[in-house]
Amino acid sequence: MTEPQIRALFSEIADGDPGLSQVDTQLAYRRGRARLRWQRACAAAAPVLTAAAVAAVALGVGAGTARHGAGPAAAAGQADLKFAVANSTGTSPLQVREVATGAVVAQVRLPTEPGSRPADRTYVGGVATRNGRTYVVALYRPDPCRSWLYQFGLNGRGQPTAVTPLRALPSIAGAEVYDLALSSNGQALGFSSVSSGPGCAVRKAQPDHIGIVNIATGQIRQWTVPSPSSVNGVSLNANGSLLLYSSQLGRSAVRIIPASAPPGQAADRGRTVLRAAQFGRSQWISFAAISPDGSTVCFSVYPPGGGGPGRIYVADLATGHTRLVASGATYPGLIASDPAASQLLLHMPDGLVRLDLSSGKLTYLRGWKGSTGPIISTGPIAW
Amino acid sequence: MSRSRDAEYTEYVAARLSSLRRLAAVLCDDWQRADDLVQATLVRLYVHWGRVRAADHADAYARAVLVREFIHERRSAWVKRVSLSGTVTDSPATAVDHDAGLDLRAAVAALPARQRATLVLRFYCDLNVDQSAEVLGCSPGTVKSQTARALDAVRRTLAPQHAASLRQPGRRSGGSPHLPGSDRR
Repeated sequence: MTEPQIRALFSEIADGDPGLSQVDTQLAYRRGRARLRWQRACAAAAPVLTAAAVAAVALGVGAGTARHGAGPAAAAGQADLKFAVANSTGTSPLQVREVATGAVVAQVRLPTEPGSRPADRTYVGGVATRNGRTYVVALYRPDPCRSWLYQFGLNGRGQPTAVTPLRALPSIAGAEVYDLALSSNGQALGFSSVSSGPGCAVRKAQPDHIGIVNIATGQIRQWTVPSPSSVNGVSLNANGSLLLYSSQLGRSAVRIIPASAPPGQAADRGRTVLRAAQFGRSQWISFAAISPDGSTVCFSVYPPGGGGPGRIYVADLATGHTRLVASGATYPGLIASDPAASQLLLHMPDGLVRLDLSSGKLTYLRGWKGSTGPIISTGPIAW
Repeated sequence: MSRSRDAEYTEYVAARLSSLRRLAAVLCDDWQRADDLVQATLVRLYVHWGRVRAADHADAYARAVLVREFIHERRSAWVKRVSLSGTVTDSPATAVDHDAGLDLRAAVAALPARQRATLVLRFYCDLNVDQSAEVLGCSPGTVKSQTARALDAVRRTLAPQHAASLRQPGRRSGGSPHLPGSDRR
């Protein structure tokens, strides 16, 4: 029984050639190692070394080591997000899971609103973190329409602290809050909210919103987006000065709004930086996130309905140049990236996946098969 | 080395580079190490190009050099100094049972270099016992025993995990796939 599996394993390894031009993630050591090896060969075959070196490098062998120099950043990045807060049911409790193994290490029980009846269930709209230690979670109730924001922390073993209302913005009446993003300086909270749900717009259609909350002052600045909204993700740069959002349906696009823009129509305040139509007819964008310095956007494009493999790109906002990073991803959602800008953590329908941005390699993580759930914490987003 | 020999060598390497890299990757389970291994192999082939030309089968000669270089390297103290990670390296995403694949990969990665080389020669290169023995420079009996021990070690490594997964009660199939925006309203 093992022999066929081993044959399949070897074939899989042999077929996984990342190419000779990939950046090695491991190594200053290896450059020294290659140099030593050449020196050893030199002692034995000095007269032919130069010719052999020319032949080998010209053919690309050893180019992997010759081009290295990234240092241990990527290896360090793998360990940056130790826990992910997931939610497979859409309601309390949340599960704290170890990223590396998928093991559930704790549960976070969310408050029940005072005076609510059993029928007035609250649902989890979104969870965000900026550093893997402090989290903000949005709960909403569809009818009557209202949202609450809470915060909690995780210690080094993944055990949660008490869940307390977010002081800056404990609740929002008349809106269901879905997407959340925390800036990495912890000063701004980005969100998208829907006011056109069945319990929200009883008498007349209400606009949906995207917005930024100043965590220190509680001040909210929000902009309206067409209703019904299809905003499916928000992200902030490091200091919270830029809010990026993407819409999934219709004319799927990625837009940026400066936090300083006056309230009003989002379409009038920001600028469109990407359109899914650039990448083919009827393409959708499943996630988009802005880099901490606000210079690049990472995003994915896939066919409608998840009917085919998606592609992940990084776009330079200054030049407009778009670089294909990976293909074959099935409508991925972004969870986090390491601060070294080398890897992304994505969720897909069949598990949690790590994407190496330099090689484009997608690697499934153990223990997450088919169990990422509909909602999982996002952040820290940085690459 | 004359210009013609250089050209001959370059032509051979250009033609065989891909297959040598694949074999090295299967042995190392790491493409970066595989490139180092291939590089070392090419240096040896260049130095001993006369023997390669004289060999009945240049590919078999190159394969033997590569496999022996792999085993030699793993026995050296150097590999212990530069082994930066104790974890199984990345694998490309495929729609299979990822946990089982990762377990098998880890079990094979834990094998001693000679046992792994034996499995690679038998199950990846499809060499018979005698051919494998020739490459490894050992007797056919040793190849048989190394193969049996390697398979036994892999099975023993996988067995407890398999049993544990069978013992887990009420294991859920997991949540529904998340199509962003699809879970609203």
